[in-house]
Formats: sequence, C-alpha cells, structure tokens
Amino acid sequence: MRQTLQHYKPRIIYLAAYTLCLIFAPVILGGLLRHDIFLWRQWWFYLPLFILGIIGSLCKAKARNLIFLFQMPAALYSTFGMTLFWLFTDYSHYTVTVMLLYCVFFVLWHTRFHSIVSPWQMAGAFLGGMLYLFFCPKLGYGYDWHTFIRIAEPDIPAHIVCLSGILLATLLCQTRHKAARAGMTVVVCAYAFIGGFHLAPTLSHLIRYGTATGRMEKQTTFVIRHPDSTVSSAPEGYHAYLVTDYFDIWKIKKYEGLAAMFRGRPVRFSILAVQRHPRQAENLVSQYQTLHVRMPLYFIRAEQLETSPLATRSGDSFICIFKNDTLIFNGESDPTSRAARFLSKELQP
Amino acid sequence: MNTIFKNSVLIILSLSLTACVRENTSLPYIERVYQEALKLHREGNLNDALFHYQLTALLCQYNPEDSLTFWWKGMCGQGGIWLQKNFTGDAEKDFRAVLEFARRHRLDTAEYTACRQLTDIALQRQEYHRAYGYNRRALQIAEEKGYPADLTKGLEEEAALAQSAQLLAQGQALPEALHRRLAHLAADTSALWKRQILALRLLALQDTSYLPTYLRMQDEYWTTRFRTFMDEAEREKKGLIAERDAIAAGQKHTLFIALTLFALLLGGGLYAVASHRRKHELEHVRFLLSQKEQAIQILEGQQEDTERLRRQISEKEKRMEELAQRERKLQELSSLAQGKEKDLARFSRLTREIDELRHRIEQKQLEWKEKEAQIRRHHLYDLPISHRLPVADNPHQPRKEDFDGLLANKERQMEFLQEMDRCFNRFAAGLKVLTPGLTDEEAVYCCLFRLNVRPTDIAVLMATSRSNVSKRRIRIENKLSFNCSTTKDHTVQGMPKC
Repeated sequence: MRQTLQHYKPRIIYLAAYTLCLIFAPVILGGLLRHDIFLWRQWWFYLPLFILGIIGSLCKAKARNLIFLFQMPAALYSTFGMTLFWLFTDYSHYTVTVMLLYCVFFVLWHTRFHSIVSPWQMAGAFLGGMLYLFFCPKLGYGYDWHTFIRIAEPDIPAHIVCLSGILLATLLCQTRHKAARAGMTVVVCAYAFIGGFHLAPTLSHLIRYGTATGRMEKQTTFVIRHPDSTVSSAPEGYHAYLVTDYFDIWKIKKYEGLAAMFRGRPVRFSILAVQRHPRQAENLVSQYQTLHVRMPLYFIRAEQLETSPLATRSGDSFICIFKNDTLIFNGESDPTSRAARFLSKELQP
Repeated sequence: MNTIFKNSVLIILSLSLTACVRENTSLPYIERVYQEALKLHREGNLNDALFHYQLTALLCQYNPEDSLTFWWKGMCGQGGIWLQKNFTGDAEKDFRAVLEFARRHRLDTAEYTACRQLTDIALQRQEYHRAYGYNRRALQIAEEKGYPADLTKGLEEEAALAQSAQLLAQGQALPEALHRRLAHLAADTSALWKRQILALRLLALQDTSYLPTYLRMQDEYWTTRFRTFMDEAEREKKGLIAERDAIAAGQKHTLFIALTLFALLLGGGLYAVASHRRKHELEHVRFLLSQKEQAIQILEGQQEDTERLRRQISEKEKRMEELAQRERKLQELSSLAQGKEKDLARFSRLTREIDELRHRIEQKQLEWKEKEAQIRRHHLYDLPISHRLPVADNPHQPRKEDFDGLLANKERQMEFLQEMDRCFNRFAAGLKVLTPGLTDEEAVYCCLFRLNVRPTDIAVLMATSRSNVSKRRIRIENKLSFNCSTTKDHTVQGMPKC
C-alpha cells in the first residue's frame, strides 16, 4: 500500500499543481479581485488543457513536465492580465513586460528542470502553449479566418516578438560559458526593450497600414462629400484627415489636440467619415454636433474607400495626410505621436 | 534570509493584488459618467466636466433606452458650461437640440429646462420675441406640471423681463405693475447680475434716467466678467498644468512601480537561480565526495586483493619449487624404473593370468553351487513325499490328483520336513532353531516357499484356500523378520529372505 502511494505521489502532486495553475486566474483570482469568474464561459479553452493535464498524469516525468509547460503561457497570461497588465496603458510596455516575464519564467524553469528536459524541448512546449493561446479563440468563438485575423492583428507583432524572445532565452539556456551567458542575458534584455518599443509597433504599423514608418507616396484622386451633399475633390496643400466610421471621443479629442499643436501652420485638419449605410451620415453629424468639433466634416462612401489608396487592413480609425493629391502618410490615430512627428519633419522650413 | 525574502515577496504581491481589486459598483457606466460630470461641474473643473457630459451624450447613442434619461441631461450640462464659458452660440445649439428632442419624445421637464435656458440666451442676444415665446412655453409647462419651488425659482422674473422686452420691442409702453416689477428687480442686489442689468436696460429704454445707472452697472459687470474670465483662464491654465504634472507623476509612478516589480522579479529570479545553483553545487560537491569515498574504498579493496594475490603468488612459487623438486625426484625414479620395466611387464602379465584364474575359479564355484542345488533338489524329488511336489524342475511332473492334500496331515508334514532336512542340510530343523515360535506347519510352508512352489499349488497341497496361504505367508514373514532382527548374525544358509 505504501509503495503504491509512493508510486502515485508525484502524479497526484502534479495533477493538483496543474489544476491549481489552470483555475487560479479564472476562478480564484477572478473571484478575489471582483472580476468575472470566466472559467465556465471559456470552457472551450480550459477543458482541453484540463484533459491534457489528466493525460499527462498517466505519462512519465518528462512528458508531465512538458505538458505542464504547455499550459503555462495561458496561466501566466490570465494571471498577469488581471493584475500587472492593468498598470500599463501603452501597448509597448505590455509587450516588454510580457516578454521579460516569459523569458524569466523560462530561464527559471530551465534552471529547475534542466536534468529532465532539454531547452529546445521546453521551447517547443512553451511556444506550442503560446500558439494555443493565440489560436484557440478562433475555434472557441467560431470566427471565420478573416475576422480572426482582423481581431488578432494588433496581437500578432507582440506574439512574434515574444516568440523570438523565447528562442533567444532558449539559446541563453543552451549556452555553457559564463561570459557568453552574461552576453546572452544582455542581448535578451536589450531585445525585449527594442522589440517592445520599436519592433512590435513598426511591425504592427507595417501589417495594418502597409508602411513601417507611416511615410508613403501615392497619387490619389478621390471624391469627398460635404454634409450639405456637395461634392469636391481633395484640396490643395497639406491636409490631414481622420478617417473614421464612428466618433470615439478619445480619438476625436486627441485629433483635436494634434490640430491645436499645428494651429497657424500650413496644414488643414478635417474629419473624413466613412459612410457604410445611408442613415450613418445622420448619426455621425449628430455626434459631430454633440462634440462641437471645430473642424470640417466630410464623408466618403465605404466602397469608394475600399478601392482608394487609403484602404487599410485595419478596421479602426486612422490618420492620413495629403500633400496636394499625393498621399504621404498613413498611420494610427491613437496615439497621434507618429503623425505629429511626421508633420513636424514635413513642415520644417 | 530566505524566509525574509519570501515574506517580502508575499507582502508585495498581496499589496499589488489589493491595488488590482475592482471597484464594486452597481451603477451602470453611463450613470457613473454623468455623476462624475456633475461632480466635476460642481468642483469648477469645466473642461473635464464638459468631456464627461459629451461622453454621456455619446454613450446614449449606443444605448437608446438610456437616451431618454441621460442624453438631454448631458446636453443641458454641456450647454450650461458653454454658457459659463460665454460660448453662447454653442450653448444655444445644445439647448435647441434638447428642445427638439424633448418635443419629439414629449419630455416636459427637458423642454422646460431647455426653454428657460433659451429664454435667457435670447434675452441676452436681444431676441425678445423668441425669448417671450420660450418663456410662455416654460410657464405653461410649469403650470401644468406643478413643479416644486426650487425648480421654478426665477421663472417669474424671467417672465417679467421677457414680457417687458416683448412690449418694448413692439413699441408699447410698459404697464405700471410691470414697470414697478422691473424697478424692483433692478434695485434687488440679491437677484442675478445679468437680470439686474437686463431690467435696467429695459427701464432705460423707456426712461432715460436709468441710463447712467445701467451704463455704470454694465461697465462694472463686464469689468468683473473680464476679470473673472482672466482668473478662470489662469485657473484653467494652472489646472491644465497641474493635470499635466499629475499625469506625468502618474506615469512616473507607474514607471517606478513597473521598474520596482521588474527589479524584484529579476532579483527574485537571480536569487532563486543563485540559491538553486548553490544547492546544486553543494549537492555536486557531496556527490563528488561520495564518489571519491567509493573510489578510496575500491582502491583499498584492490590493495587488499593485491596483497592477497601477492601471498598467493608466493605460496604458488613455493609450491612450484616443491613441484620442481618432486619433478626432479620423479625424473630420478623414472630413470630407475626404466631399468626394471621388463620385470614389471612380466609381473603384470602374471598378475593378469592370476586374475583370469581367479575369475575362472569363481565361475566354477558358482557352477558347483548350482549343480549342488540341482542335485539336492533332484534327490529331494526322488523321496516319497517330495516326489509329488508340483514344481517346474520336478522331472516326475505330478498331476493335481497326485498332490491334492499331500501335506494336509501332520505325519506327511513331518516326513516332508525330514526329507527337506536330509536333502538341504537340516534346513527345516535349522529354521526351528533360529525361530523358536515357528510351528511344524509353518516350517512346511517355509520349505514350500523355498522350493518356489506357486501359492495356488501350496493351497492344493495344504488343502486350504489361496487367501489362507497369503495370510500365513504374511504371518510367517512377520515372525521371521522379528526373529531375523534379533538373530541377524546367525543366519542359516538357504533360509528364506527376511
């Protein structure tokens, strides 16, 4: 009897720890921090992981270790998503923190279990877990591929940076020489900051707007409609448009702030509202009046926007800047810093 | 150290988690935003209040059921702020939008509020006809609804002003009661300054004696208003600077917390790694020590084995020397033996011949024994009783009738025993001597067994049954075995085996 208990003890401990990690965020932390207890709502995400854990309890120590590691990205993401990540308003900070957390966790895990699993096996399991975390919502919410890519688009660069960071951490674990290890540590930390503050936003911008810096040069002629239904083409000189299909107060205020920054400079700021259906114009005008926006409002039909060079992969609002009939900038509307930098450079005497 | 570190980490984590606890509120988001706007408005933070009023109004567009409650409130709040900021045009737009909305949805309170504000704006803009219209509508709603006093406060003054303005605009003289009312309002220092000036202006239009007072009051009002604007602008500027500083401080705070947490995590990680490595190194040293101990034990064992081997080798060397000596002796003996080899061959030939002769003698002895037994038996078969015994080697081959009941009586048994004694060297008598309890009949049975007579034939000879013969045989064997054990050394040749 005692021998049987001794035999099953590691498996029981494993299963208990695995289950605790799995339900810690969605049940315990969610309840303690007065968030929603979302385990039952997202059963399609947690149930396969739980079944995998049970299967793991029947396997050998190495397989158990790898299965445990497979679920760790999900556990870390949900735990820190409810605690630490609330502190960060900027996506760059989030990317840096997530990557560093993942790398630190990976190295610690390797330090503890290097005798059982090799770093590359660990990296495989961990990256598998990250991919599961990324792709599972597609199956769970039943999105089609296009919708999923559109929704997941902002997360893709952060995931790419984190995945490459884990690979660097694996190399760090693989390194034996002390000096090389110290060097790799510096490389991983530097990569986390470069990736978070520069690489991920650039990549995101490239995916969404087709340009890494925002700068572009495309000849374009498109017709804009005024609220009084008169039609005109783009005016001469520098003019910036906030292209949007709804009035988000934060984005409008930030855009107004951008316009205030360049008051008195030879650039005109306008709002180009995308009209997807006939009644939308009325709603947009109402919102425009409610917010007392002090810049012109124009309309463009959605079909026309799709066929114009302004079309982006992003379904969100964006800022585009024209110089006469040439589109010279296309970028995000929140934050407006990229557009401000671009305009400052462009308007330099 | 380890415990302190762990406790510190736990405390920091608990504090961090406490900071992440969500506020428990049952109010819907839109209502919270509106309440925040009212609070900011009361505090005099007009810009943020305006933002929150606008947010309330925008949110209503996504929640149509809330728009009847909050949209017009948000718009009225926003209009009020525009009025305070002296953006009368914006304020009028907002209140007109509310008025249209209220008429479309039959919201009397909203219409009443908008009408009163629009009356005020129209009086300021000297659009007296519209002011009168808005005021009449506000009065009508107030009468129908019977609003409490705090909601209708100043309504009568507005009515007097609007009515007077309407009459004057039409070029009519003011009635005495209305004139008195205006004069009272102009002299009332507790009334709103704007209304006081408006009353003075209206009075001045009819009576020029009010003109200097009106001009003085107007001058004072705008001076004060300008100063207030300047003060407000300054306050707003300071507020914005303070807000910017607060945001910067907040960002610094966040950065500090993030850096602290990161440093803690990194430190914790490094500490854990170092601790683990220390532990690992200790284990490694222990492992090396145990390996060395094992190696020493093995070497000691090997040393003992070496000594033992050395001893064995020395012993073997001694034996080798002895063997060499023996070999030398053997060589000497063999050299001696070579001379006597011929004698040895002859001797061995003779020995072989002796052995052959001995073998032949033994065979002859056996033949003689057999011959003797045969002669004795043939002699027995020639005697009168034994002549009829049914035995295979009996040359007379008696029939059953010849030996049926042959030994059944005592006399014949005795004769048979005498014949056996005569032919087999006192066999029966010897049996009796060796086995004192043996009867004559039992001795007969023994003799018959000795002669290998079949039990069936013995039964016929003794005139008894086959089973009786078997029983008697067992009994005799018991007797003989008992006696045989006592007189083992005095066995008589020819007796049946025990």
